[in-house]
Amino acid sequence: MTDGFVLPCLATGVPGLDTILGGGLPEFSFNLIAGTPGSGKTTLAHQLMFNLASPERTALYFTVLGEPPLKMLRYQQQFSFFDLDKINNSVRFLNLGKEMSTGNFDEVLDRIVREVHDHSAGLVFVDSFRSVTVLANAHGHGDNKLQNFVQRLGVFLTSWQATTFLVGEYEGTESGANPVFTVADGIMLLNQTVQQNSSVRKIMISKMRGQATMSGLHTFRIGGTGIVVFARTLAEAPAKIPPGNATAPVRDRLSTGNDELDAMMSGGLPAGHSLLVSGPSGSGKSTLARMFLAAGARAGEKGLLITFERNVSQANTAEMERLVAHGSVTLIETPGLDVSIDETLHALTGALAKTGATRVVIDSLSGLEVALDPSFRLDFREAVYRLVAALTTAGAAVMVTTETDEHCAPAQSAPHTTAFLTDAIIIQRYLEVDGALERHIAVVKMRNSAHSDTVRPFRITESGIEIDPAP
Amino acid sequence: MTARHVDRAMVGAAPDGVTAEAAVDGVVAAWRTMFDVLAPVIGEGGVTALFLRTCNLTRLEHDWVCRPDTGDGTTAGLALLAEVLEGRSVEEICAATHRMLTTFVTILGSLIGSALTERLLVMAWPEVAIDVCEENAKS
Repeated sequence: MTDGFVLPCLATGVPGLDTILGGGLPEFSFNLIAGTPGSGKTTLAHQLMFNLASPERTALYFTVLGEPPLKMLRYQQQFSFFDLDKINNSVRFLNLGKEMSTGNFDEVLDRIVREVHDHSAGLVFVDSFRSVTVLANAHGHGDNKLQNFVQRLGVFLTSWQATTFLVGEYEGTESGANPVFTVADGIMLLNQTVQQNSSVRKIMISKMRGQATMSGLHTFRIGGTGIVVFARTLAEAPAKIPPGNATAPVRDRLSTGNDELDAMMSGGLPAGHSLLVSGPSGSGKSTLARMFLAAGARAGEKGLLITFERNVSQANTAEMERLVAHGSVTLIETPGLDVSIDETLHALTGALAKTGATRVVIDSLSGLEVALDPSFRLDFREAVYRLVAALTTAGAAVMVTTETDEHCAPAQSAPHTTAFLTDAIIIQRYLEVDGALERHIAVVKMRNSAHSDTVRPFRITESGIEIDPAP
Repeated sequence: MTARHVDRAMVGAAPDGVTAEAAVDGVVAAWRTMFDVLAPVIGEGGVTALFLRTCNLTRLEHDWVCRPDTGDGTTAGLALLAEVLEGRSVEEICAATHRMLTTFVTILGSLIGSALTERLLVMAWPEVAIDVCEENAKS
């Protein structure tokens, strides 16, 4: 990049898309929105069009032989971005079916040129451009003729100062051989991967001339507002401990809500640190997590709670419901199934920024793993690392719970070998004492801080957990 | 878009005192104008399919109305319509056309919503646009 001409970019208005585009969509670019059937191409094209179109920048949406226009208009109206006031004003739908049926590219180009001239279009969409390719083949035109047509179209529309989007059903694998891919300035590839019974949509900016795009596949979801893209971010490693200064003292300590446990942790969890609470089912992990949030609320701090179990109320306790109603704790909604780690991360960091929360509880990693789309489960450690690192880098103290399998087995810090991902670890376990199960708790790790190495019996009461004093 | 709007459009197509021959011309012209507006948006095929469905539904009440083939375009469909309208009285022409236009508008509205349907059809029938604007102003 030089200090010379700066490529003007359009803000697409599609949440998250500008981030992965590297700052927006280059103006007057000639783009291809490609992907498998049902991957969201037409929805993305419509969302871009309604967001970008204005009286000063009118949009023409040429339909060819892909999705019938009647159906397209019927279904796209279900999205909130579909603005009836723009129809036939700043947005016009035009059908190229008649010109395309002749297979004469000159006629097609003439019609597009005429309409662009007549309406002074600044945005041009052709859906589906795949149909153009298919018809070219059907009429015996080779790739050369198609490439010539695409080049003439691209040159005209760019010279006309129009930003163009060709929409088509293309696989990423054919990009090398297809002339459309060669001519395009930008290529947005959409797909929908299916694994077991789950599916997740992903987008990749495989080409965008003049832009430093975010590489790789990014998940997106289609909801009532249209497409929301969740950029795949890898937060920088938390810089709580300066390099070479591993004994630097931690600053503020956050109370866990239990004085004995705070004492075992040399005063509580250091601000901005992460804590894993591990234990078998029913051992009191969620109880401790909610005590942590309640302690924050008493200290005037805001907290976030994200849960993945659907069989109980997220708040779980009357006190937590009161704190949620009061605004001290914010519940983060999750879709329930086919969750993407980036979507979860965006929901949490967005809520952090909005509420100014300093405490985050993720209850639990086991639930998150079940709710995640299988493609994210394959590298669960990396997913959890990104999640925790992003939150702690933002300055939040994070408590995550995780369930161990065996109820009375020797102390086990955590499954998934996720233990190294957090700054501190607390384990809960059952011991059989005189024919009864007794809960025990221990602090097994606190990065950069002293901590107790005792194993303490504790009980769950109406006021939370009560830990026996040190012997 | 209501039946009253269709009636309003019909006034332009077949005003009082018109001959049957002139009524046919007016009705065909009204359809043609609407097709010209709709075809660029929903495609010639979309318009033809809607017209076909409209004819079929109208035949339940007026069994003499034409039944175009799926392969017919709008031009051939309208030619068939003109053929069957010829020889009918002005009253019959108006009654059948009213039913056809109402049906057409209803089908289109069920597919793309009444608001968008209205926006498209007022382009074809400015008389209706005036009515709609007046109604909107009152509401």
